Amino acid sequence: MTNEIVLMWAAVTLYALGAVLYAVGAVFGHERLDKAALAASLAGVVPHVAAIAIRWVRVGHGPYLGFYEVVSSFALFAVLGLALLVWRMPGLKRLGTVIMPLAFLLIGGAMLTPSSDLEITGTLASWWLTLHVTFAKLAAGSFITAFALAVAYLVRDRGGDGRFARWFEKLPSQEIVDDLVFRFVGVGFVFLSIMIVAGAIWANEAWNRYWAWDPIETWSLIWWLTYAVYLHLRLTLGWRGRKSAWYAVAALPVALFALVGVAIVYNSIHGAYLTGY
Amino acid sequence: MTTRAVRFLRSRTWAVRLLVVIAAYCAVVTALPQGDPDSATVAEWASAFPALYTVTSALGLHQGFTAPFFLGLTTWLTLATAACAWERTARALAERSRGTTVPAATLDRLRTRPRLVVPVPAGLAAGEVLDRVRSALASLGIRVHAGPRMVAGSGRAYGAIGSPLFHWALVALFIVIALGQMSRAEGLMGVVTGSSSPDVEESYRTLTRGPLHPEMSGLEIAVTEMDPDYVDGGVRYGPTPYVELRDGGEVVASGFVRPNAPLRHRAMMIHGVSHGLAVVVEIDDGVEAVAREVLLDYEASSATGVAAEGFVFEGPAGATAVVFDLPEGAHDSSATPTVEVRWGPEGAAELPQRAELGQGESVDVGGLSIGVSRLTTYARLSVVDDWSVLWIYVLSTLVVVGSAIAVLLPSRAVWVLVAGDDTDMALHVEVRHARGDPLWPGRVTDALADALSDVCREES
Repeated sequence: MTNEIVLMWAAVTLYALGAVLYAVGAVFGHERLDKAALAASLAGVVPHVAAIAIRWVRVGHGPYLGFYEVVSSFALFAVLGLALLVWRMPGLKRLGTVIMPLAFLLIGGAMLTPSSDLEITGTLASWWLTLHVTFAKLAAGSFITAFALAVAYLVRDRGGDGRFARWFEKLPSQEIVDDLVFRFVGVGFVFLSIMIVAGAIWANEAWNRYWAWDPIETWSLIWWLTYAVYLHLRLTLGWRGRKSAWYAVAALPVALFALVGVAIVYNSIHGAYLTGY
Repeated sequence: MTTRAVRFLRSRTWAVRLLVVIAAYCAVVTALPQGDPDSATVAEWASAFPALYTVTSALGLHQGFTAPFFLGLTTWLTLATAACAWERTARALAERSRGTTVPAATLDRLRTRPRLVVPVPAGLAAGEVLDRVRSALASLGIRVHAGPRMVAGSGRAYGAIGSPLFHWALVALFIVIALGQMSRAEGLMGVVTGSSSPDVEESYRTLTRGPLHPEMSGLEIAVTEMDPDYVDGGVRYGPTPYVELRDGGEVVASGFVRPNAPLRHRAMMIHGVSHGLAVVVEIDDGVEAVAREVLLDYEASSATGVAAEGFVFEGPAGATAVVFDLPEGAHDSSATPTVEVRWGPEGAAELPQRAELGQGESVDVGGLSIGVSRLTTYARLSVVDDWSVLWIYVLSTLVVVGSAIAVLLPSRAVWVLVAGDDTDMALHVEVRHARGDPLWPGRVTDALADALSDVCREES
């Protein structure tokens, strides 16, 4: 456990360093800091993955039981989303200015909660659960990435000589960024659909009912409807650019509440996965 | 009137509004306790917020997901999705039948006001240009058809089926869910280890049947053993029943029933919910002996009984109530369980007399002999009869596949006209991308320019 905690704190430190370097670069206009910020952020993935792997081997299951595991893995998928973006389009590295503070808050929050090992119970021993949580994390990573792209779009859209607008100058054109927001929301929507279907199948196999309007189930539907509205607005009503970006920004809190907030606020049969049992 | 109704259902604006209203309604209902007015959670909320409760109860929000308003919204959603699916299908079929035929407006633009132009290096014949254009487009995954001076191509034509598939699968899913809920039977029954109960209404402690549910199956549900500490795949499941489903004596399905491994037979699914102590009581009035099953549940955290069971009989001393309960400190891991029997006059606030009995022991209760002929376990089983479950799995998968195709595999089309004569040739290009990818025109013109630039490199 000690190795795991040390590695997690190393990841927290590197994510924090990445977030700070991005912020300093943006605020003070230090153009070259973006490379250092990205390097620190991606370096944090190494101890983070190692910590998750050590824990996985010890407890015998993936990172999906308890606040500590779940929220820490959401942070990992957000940073992996940034890594994917930068790999395909190096010009997007400054999106870390938005993603890294979010990732740091997530992993930092996770570190403040109990990290005791939680056993797999009979209800949780299912491949459908593995599919369900994997696609939940992929969906979260996609929507966080879309959020970051939308924020960058809006900052540049405001124009002027603002320091943040200058910081995001090197991103691709607004048209391309706008399209990327849509692409990540689209992919996230598919992942979210798989998450819901896998969850319903698992619920039926575990509890003999595929849907019971449990608060977490209902909020995952609200989450799905929120992004279904985005896709309709975009594809059928022609919402693009600023309107589309504002929607992608406003939609993320719905996703985060459905993922993390509902289990804390409401009593739910699902809640145990986050708050412990 | 029909046309107006269809136009309304197909309205994109109203579709967005409907989705927003449904999402908001779900958020509001989830914030309120759900259940019957006399349920504990609703009653507690009602006493805490009496003024608000008069509004929320009048609106039916405490049974919000079966309220007429919500059912109306979901019906509207189903009809709107069907109208949209019809339109998307018509569009996809039109696109398919059009194939790579150049729309008249596009041809006119290609000739007179092309949006994209790629210059052709001098010295290249039209035929060779067409060949290079074909291979450039093929490298982008475009299937091409070439005419004398025109190349037309399309890619991922199947992408057009994504949206219709998604919407039709959703419509079918809504309908199947509705019909399934109306014909679903779901209940809890307790079956004593070593005995069986038939799948009939009387066997269930609680049972809900939809209005379209046919007759109960009548199959025998037997619990042949209870493994006190079932382990499978390294996971401990605790006490787990072995259940047999019998049809006229023939076993049609059997197995240990645990979470994620229910017993299945056709549309029936049996889950193990919990277990408890089963007391087979023999009541002997000296003339005849009658056996009766009493099921008692453990509360695992406090190791006490939950919901004592009993009955009233007319004995020599008058109406006497007899109640069975788990003794204080009872635990389901006890190797020699006992049961507590309390009795006294019917209607008394407390039953004054008690005895603790093990298997084979009996006590005289007001002239009756009450004995424990068997002390064993029982399994509380959840039995569901719902034909729609498998269809829901299939249709949900189709919804996901449709959305993936629509989002990830948008259809594309390219038309290239070789304009000008052999001394002054250029490619006039029109592109279409179902998702409006702003990078697509650039990718096409770059591929064409690269294919033609080979000529320059060869020449140099």
